[in-house]
Formats: sequence, C-alpha cells, structure tokens
Amino acid sequence: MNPVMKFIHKTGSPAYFYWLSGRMIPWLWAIFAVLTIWGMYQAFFVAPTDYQQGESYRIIYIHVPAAWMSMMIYILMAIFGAIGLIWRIRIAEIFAVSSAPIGAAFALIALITGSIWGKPTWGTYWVWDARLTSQLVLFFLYLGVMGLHSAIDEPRKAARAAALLALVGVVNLPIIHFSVDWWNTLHQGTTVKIGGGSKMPNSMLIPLLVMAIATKFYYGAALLTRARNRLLDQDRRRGWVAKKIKEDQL
Amino acid sequence: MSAFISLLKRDLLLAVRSRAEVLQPLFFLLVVVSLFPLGLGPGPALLARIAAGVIWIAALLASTLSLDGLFRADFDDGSLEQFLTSGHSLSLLVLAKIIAHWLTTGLPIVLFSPLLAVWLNLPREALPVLVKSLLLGTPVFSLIGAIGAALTVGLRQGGQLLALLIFPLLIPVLILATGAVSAATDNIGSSAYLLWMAAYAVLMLTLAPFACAASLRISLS
Amino acid sequence: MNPHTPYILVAYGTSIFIMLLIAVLPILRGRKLRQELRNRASVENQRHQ
Repeated sequence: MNPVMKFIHKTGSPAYFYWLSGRMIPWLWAIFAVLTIWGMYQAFFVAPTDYQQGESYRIIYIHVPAAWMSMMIYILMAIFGAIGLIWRIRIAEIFAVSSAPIGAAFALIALITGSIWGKPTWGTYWVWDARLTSQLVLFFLYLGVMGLHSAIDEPRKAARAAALLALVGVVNLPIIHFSVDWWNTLHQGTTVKIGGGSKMPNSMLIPLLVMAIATKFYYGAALLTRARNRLLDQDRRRGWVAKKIKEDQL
Repeated sequence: MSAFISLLKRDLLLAVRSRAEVLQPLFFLLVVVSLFPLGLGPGPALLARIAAGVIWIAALLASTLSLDGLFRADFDDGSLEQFLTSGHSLSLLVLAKIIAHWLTTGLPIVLFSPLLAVWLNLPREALPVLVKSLLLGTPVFSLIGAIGAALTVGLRQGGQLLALLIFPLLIPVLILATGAVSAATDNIGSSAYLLWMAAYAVLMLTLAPFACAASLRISLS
Repeated sequence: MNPHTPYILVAYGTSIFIMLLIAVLPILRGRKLRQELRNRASVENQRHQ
C-alpha cells in the first residue's frame, strides 16, 4: 500500500481521527484568533482611507475573504464528496457534509457585507452585479446540498446523495459563473465597475491576505468540530466510543 | 441496446395511454404564460420585451413539475430495482427514460411555443431563434432534472426540494436562451448563444446519464 | 463620526454574529452529545454491577 493511502486509512480510523482532531482544534482556533486580531488591527488602524470610496472600503476585509472561502469550500466539498463516493471513505463523506453549512455561512456573509458595502458606494443595497449574482447562485447551490442532506434520514445515504449533488454543482459552477458574467455585460444598464484595474498599496493588501489566511483556520476548526460531532453521533454504539468513555478521553 | 429501445417504447406508450402526462405540463405552461399579461398589463411593447423570459421561465416550471414523477412510478412498483439488477447498463436505461421524458414534455413545449410567442407579441424575426433555443435547452432541463429526480426519488418533500436542487443549475440555460432571443430581436447575431447552448446540451448528454445512474444507486441503497 | 461608520459596524456585526453562530452551535452540541454518551455509559455500568 502506498504511503498516501496508508495515511488516508490511518486518519480514516474513527478513534485516531477523533483523537487527532481533538488535539488540533484548539490550535486552529488560537491561530485564527491571533491572525484575526492582527488583520483587523491592520485593516482599521494601519491601512489608509481609500480616496474614492472613503472608509466604507474597509468592509472588503471581511467581504472578500468570505467570498473566497465560500468558493473554496464548495470545491473542497466536491473533492471530499468525490473521495467519499469513489473510495467509500466515511470520514471524507462526513467532511463533505460538514463543510456545507460553513460554506453557506461564508456565502451569506459575502452577500450581506456586499450589499451593505453597496449602499454608500452604489447608493442602493442590491445591484444585480455579476459578482453578487454569482454569489447568490452559489448560496442557492449550498442550500440545495443542505436541503437534500436534511431530507434523507439514513446518514450515510444522505451524505452520499449530498456529495453527488456537490459534484454535479462543481461541474456546473464555471459555466454558471461564465453565463452570469455574460448576462451582466448584456444588460449594461446596471453594471458598476468595482475597483477597476487599480493596484492596491501593500498597506491595504496585507490585511486582506492576513484575513484570507485567518478564515482558512476558522474553516479548519469549525469543520473538525462538526466532523467530530457527526462521527460520534453515527458511532455512538461502536466499540471505540465505549473505549474512549472508559478511558475518560471522550 | 434492445433494453434501451423497449424501455423507451414502454415509457412513450404509457405517456400516450394516460394522456394526462403529456397534456398537463402543456396546460400548466399555457396558464402560467397567460398570467403574465394579466399581472403586468397588456401593453404590447412591454410584453414583447419580456416574452422570451416569460416563456422560458414557464417552460422551466412546467418541466420541473413533470420531472418530479419521472422515476416515481418505477420506484413504487419496484421496476427501478429490476433495472439495477437486470445486468443492463443503468446509464443507458436512464437515458431512455430521459429521452422519453423529453419527447413527452419538452417537445410539446417546443411545438407550442409559437402560439405563446404570438400571445406575448414577440417580434416575428425572433421566433425561429426562440424555437431553436427551446429545442436546445429543454433537453438540458430533462437531463439535469433527471439527476435531481433520481436524488429525490422516494422522499416526502420531493417536488419543492427538486426545484431547489435544479433551478440554480439551470441558470446558464435560461441566460443563454434569453440572450439568444434578445440578440435576435436586436438584429445582432444570435448564433454564438445557440452554439454555446448546443455545447452545453452535448456536455450534459454525456455526463448526466452517468450522474443520474449513480444517484439512483444511492437512492435505492 | 464618519458617515460610513454605521455601515462598517453593521457589516462586521452581522459577519461576527454568523461566524460565532456557526462556530459555537456545534461546540455546544458536541458537549451535549458527549455528556449524553457518558451518562448512558455510567447507567449501563450500574446495571451491570
């Protein structure tokens, strides 16, 4: 067996995964907290005011990382789903399913902050701008995956169905983005260019990158917490859970 | 292959015999389209501008409504289990069902669309493009919709959930089709849109039967 | 006060609220689940003795 598959099978063992993730979660939260505090300090006290948008541009320090995360998590969800469907690795199925609410939350954050940013910038809370519209469709795709998962009672069947839907979605995602962009240029009336090609100075860019990295640690911690719960819930009658209880390690 | 043809024949025969299966989506389409002039006012200029979008959204709703039952009867009487264990390629059998679905719901919509276009005062030069776009787009509804129907077969809240699953996936079809019609109305070339739609339809024709068969395997496990 | 400040406050407020909700709810649920499993194990233990 090659080392990669060996690693997957070892971490795929529920007891080992449970132990390892329990060790990792506090660290992930801590790194997230440190990066967020640093990033927010930079975003509000170091980065200069934008000469065009004024102070409201500071919303991008949550909006853009959230939008990136919502996209990344959808792709990861499909990859986890594919691994779960192809090799029947249960932990991958659990990861796929546990990713959906976190990704949906990031999509929602991106939508809300985007439209709040729109009010002082565009003068209205909602513009059918290509990026906002794509984000909305992505949010709907998440809702579909979560809706399907919650509609099926049997946990593994639900996870596999949701994983398959995520895969179908990820194939369509580039096509949806492309068509929404096209649609947006077609109906020129409402388009507003954001930022244009202007370059950001480093003092503005660095907090953005810091926040983008911080949200990845948030995702890791939230994902592992959810995955542990789901695993424990599914395995409540298995031997390893009883053993952990007896050793007082649960 | 013989199983493919006999399943296709069986589904078509069932649809012709029951008749309601063919006529109901069509009546639904007519009623939905007629609601728009009643709700928005009969101004010909306004109707001409929204005609393509209205017809497309009504077609989307009508096919989704009929998709809900695509696998239901076969699921209830156990035929689906038989397909699974029959040794024939499940993807091929599913494709037969999808084609039968398109012939009984998609094609009638395409044939009826000129009437709807007249109702909504669509400019005459845009009509062939509308028909062509429906001809390329409604198979995609059946193909992607079949994946959703396979995933939701046997679930209680099937219908609404199905709409939630497939509508976001059908947005490209809606955008490209209405784009094609408005390009034709403005007398600029619409062939780029139609070619993209054809490409999308071919892509889905190759991928959807496999995804659909995999979904059925999950739903029946 | 800068006229944009309320927008920034509302944007960050809702974001923090949603992120907290997504983070804290599973932590609480996990705590409840583990407590439940431990209780059941101890009840079963007593029954055995």
